[in-house]
Amino acid sequence: MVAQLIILSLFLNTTQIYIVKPKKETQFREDKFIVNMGIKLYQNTISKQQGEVCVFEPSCSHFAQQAVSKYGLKGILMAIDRLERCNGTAWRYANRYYPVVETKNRGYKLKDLPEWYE
Amino acid sequence: MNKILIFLIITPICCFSNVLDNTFAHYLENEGEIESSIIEYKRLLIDSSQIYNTDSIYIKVSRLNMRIGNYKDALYELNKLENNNKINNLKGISYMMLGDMERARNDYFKNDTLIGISYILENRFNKAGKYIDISNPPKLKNPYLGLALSMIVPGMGRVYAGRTFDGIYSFMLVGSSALSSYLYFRDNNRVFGYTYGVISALLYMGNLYGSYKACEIYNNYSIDVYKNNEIIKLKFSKWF
Repeated sequence: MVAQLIILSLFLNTTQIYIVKPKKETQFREDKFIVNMGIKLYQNTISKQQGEVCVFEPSCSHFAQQAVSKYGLKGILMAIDRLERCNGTAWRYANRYYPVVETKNRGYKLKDLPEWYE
Repeated sequence: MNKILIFLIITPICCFSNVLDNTFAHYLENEGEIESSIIEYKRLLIDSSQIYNTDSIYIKVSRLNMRIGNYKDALYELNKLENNNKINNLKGISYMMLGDMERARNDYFKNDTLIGISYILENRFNKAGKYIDISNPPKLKNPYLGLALSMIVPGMGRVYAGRTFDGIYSFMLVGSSALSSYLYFRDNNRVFGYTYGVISALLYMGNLYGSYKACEIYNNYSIDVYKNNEIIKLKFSKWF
């Protein structure tokens, strides 16, 4: 038994023990959480009733979600700006400011990503 | 005897015939399969270094690499060759496309057109005009003016940036929410008054941000279109 312990201690001394660092817990942000909850509530209630009316891809609510999660407070401004641009006349700027893309279930839409308004 | 004769005739033909020609590589290039074409050209380099003019194949490989945007690979091939005017131009174009404009201009370019193109790619149009004839650069919109216009009249900045309908739409949104707020306050309905007030303020701020960005996007788009047109006009692709 003692010999086994000695061997084990030698083994532990000679081998490197790699400790996997636990991932840093991302800070909980109440503002982002509230905005995201609001958007999800909208997506699951009003948006489902309306159908696919948004002219853009990603749709305004998804754009807002992405923008807020990436840019925080600035993302809210980006989302509001997007809401002001989301109307039928946006097609006038197709292939100029917005490339036209074919989506899976929503037909042809105008591509407009939050990164473009950073 | 006949067999020996045939052997003596056919063997030299097989040995020195141009079996390893570049027809297939050329075919692949024409079909648009550039990467496969590069591999085929490189195979020719290995197999037939005695027969072919290797320099021309190195140049071909580097040009094809440039066509698909592998400028580092193109430079690697070009560095195997002795410098001359043609090689210097190709090296300079590779450095230019990798973003090292100064090195391209100072070390490699002797041609005014290429120097001009390098300045166009850097958005230094006045400097480019000294080397080549270019049309007038586009008139850009000032994002701060757009912002200021939107502060005075919501949506005006977007109109200034060339998005008239977006401007009208955002004016209607901000205006209607502000009007609703005013009307509710007038009727002593503070809850709705404040609600619409907050909505109106948010829409106003979003409109300011949007106007600024609309000007920036307009500028970027105009410059890109102008640069593309100028570069097409100068037949930049002929250098590849």
